Amino acid sequence: MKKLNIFLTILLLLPVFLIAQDGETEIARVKSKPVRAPFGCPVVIDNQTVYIPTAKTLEFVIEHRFGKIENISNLFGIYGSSNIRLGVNYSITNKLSVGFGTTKYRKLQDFRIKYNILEQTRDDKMPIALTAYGNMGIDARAESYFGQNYKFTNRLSYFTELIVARKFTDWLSIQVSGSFSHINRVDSLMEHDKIGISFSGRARVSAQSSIIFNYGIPLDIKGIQEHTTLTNPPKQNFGIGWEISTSTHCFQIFVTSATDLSPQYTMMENQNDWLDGDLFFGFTITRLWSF
Amino acid sequence: MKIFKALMLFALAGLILCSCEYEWIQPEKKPIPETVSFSSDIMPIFNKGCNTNVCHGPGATPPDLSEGNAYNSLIDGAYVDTETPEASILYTTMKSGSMVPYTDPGDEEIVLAWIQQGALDN
Repeated sequence: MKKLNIFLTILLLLPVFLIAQDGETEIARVKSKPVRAPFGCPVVIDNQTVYIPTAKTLEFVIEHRFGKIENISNLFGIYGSSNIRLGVNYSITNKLSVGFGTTKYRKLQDFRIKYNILEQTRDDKMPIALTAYGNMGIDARAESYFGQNYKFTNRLSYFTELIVARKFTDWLSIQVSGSFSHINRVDSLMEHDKIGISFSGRARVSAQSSIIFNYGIPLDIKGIQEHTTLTNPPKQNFGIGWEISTSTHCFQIFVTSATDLSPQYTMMENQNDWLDGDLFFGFTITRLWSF
Repeated sequence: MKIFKALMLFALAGLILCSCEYEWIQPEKKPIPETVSFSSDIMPIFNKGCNTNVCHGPGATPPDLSEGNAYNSLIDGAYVDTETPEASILYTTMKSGSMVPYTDPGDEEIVLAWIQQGALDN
């Protein structure tokens, strides 16, 4: 556990050190313009992107997942049980945004922060974009869900992610991210921590339309695993869809195997196996207002 | 400004680290009847919200957990396994699967006891 705390400390403090470096290299980067929008939306299906709207922009985000795609009798999931998240984010600067959201599953209330550490430049002096993302979730269900000896901190969960992205061409952007998820109080069969990696991409097919995908892999790392064998290990999640983005809107429609709308629960508890056909229709609508 | 941001992030990181805990849920013990009755112990669990039209109601996502249909739906769909009750899909989805967010703590143990007693239509 000590090693884990050291790892956590390094992971969480990384943005601090990088900000310091950012200051030193600022003068050198004055002449280098950042590339235009490697991603058109702040989210790509079930993952965050490196994209942060310009300073003083308010985002309103509606994320929705329908039920499992089965057959015409449940209209391919549209008549099934659904999950929804409503959120707002505000860009304090061009590189920093904060936000809050509320989700149906677990009545989860989440606070999030996203910081753009490095921007990819057009002259390729900086070949990648690097963004740190973190959130803290509060499970707002009744106390009885947390069992005996309840205290408020039992409700908390966390997600920290470092995202590396590159816009390879005008039409293709790819990002890779490493994440750490933690839930304070879990069922006896579950783990408290999970390290994961994700791959996401956007391929533009016209001025406003793109094909998008996301693939998330929770890793089984014995060093941080509390159980020798996991009863219900989390499944890898996969999503693919269509994105339409303009300067003030972003609309995504897709199929995905993840129904949790909080990344920590997707990484730690997703039991849907896309290879077994556990897929769900979903959409994300983002509206931006600049002040 | 840079120093201010760095301090803010440092404080945030500290706050998060200090509130990380490693605790297990110890379920409140709900009394389990000596003989679990499907109609008076199991159906009330499904009636809390499982068998609405948009979830496990008639014509919605299987199994159909509505009054009059639930027992046959569970047995015909092989959601209960009286040979290995702990492996029953009904129990595992409530205990640690996709139905955890909708399950009141302790209800899954009543369901398990019902399966262990032979999953009777009583």
